[in-house]
Amino acid sequence: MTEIYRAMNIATHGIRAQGGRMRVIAENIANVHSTPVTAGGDPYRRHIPIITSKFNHQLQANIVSSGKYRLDNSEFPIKLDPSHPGADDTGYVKMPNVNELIEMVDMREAQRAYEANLNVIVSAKSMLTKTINILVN
Amino acid sequence: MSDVSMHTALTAKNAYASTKTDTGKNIIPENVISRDESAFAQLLGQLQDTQEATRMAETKSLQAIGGKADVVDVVNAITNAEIAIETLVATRDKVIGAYKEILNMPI
Repeated sequence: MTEIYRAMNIATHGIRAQGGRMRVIAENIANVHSTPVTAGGDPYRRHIPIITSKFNHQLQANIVSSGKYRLDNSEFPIKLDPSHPGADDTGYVKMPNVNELIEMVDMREAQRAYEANLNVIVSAKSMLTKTINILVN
Repeated sequence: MSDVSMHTALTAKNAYASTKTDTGKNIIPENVISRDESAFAQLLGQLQDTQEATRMAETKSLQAIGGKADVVDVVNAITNAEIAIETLVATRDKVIGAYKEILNMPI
C-alpha cells in the first residue's frame, strides 16, 4: 500500500471519529430539556465525547477512534417548578447539565475537523490523479 | 522525448516477444511476480489489484445501499478503485501506443 493510500485511509478513520463525536453532541443537544421522571430524580447527564489515538498495524500508523464517551459529573442546574412531576419536596427540578452554547462550539469544532479530514482525501486524490495524468498527456 | 518513446517501444517489443511464448499458459500471475516474467505479464498482474479494488468498491456500495456501510468507506473504496483503473488505463494506452509505433515502423 502506497503512502498516499495510507494517508487516505487514516483520513477516513478521522472522518469516522468526528462522526462519532457528532453523534454524542447530537445526543446532548437533543436531551437539553430532558427532565427527571421521578420526584427528586436525576435528569439527563451530559456526555463528553472521547477521542483517542490507537496504533493500527495494518496501516502502520496512529489512527483516531471515537464514539465512546464519559459522563460529565458537574452539578445539575435547578429550576423552581413545583407543578413538575420531577420536582423535589422544595419544588425544585434538576435540569440537565447541558449548555447549548458549549455544545454548539463543540459541534463547530467537530465540523471543522471533519472538513479538514475530507480535504486530506481530496488533496491525496488530486496528487495521485495528477501523477497519473503525466502518462496520459 | 524520442528517447523515452524509443525506450517504451523497445519494452513493448520485448514484452510482446515473451508474451508470445507464454501463450497457452496462464498469463496472469498468482499475486507473486517473479523476475523472469515479462513486463507485459507483470502489467497483467496489476489487473488483479485493480479488479480487487473495483470489487471492494462494489461491495461497499451495496452495503451502503443496505445501510450497513459508512459513506466515508464507500467514498474511500470508490476513490481507490478509480485511481487503480486510471493507472491501468493510462498504462494500457501507453503500451498500445508503443506497440502501434512499432507497427508503423518502415521496414
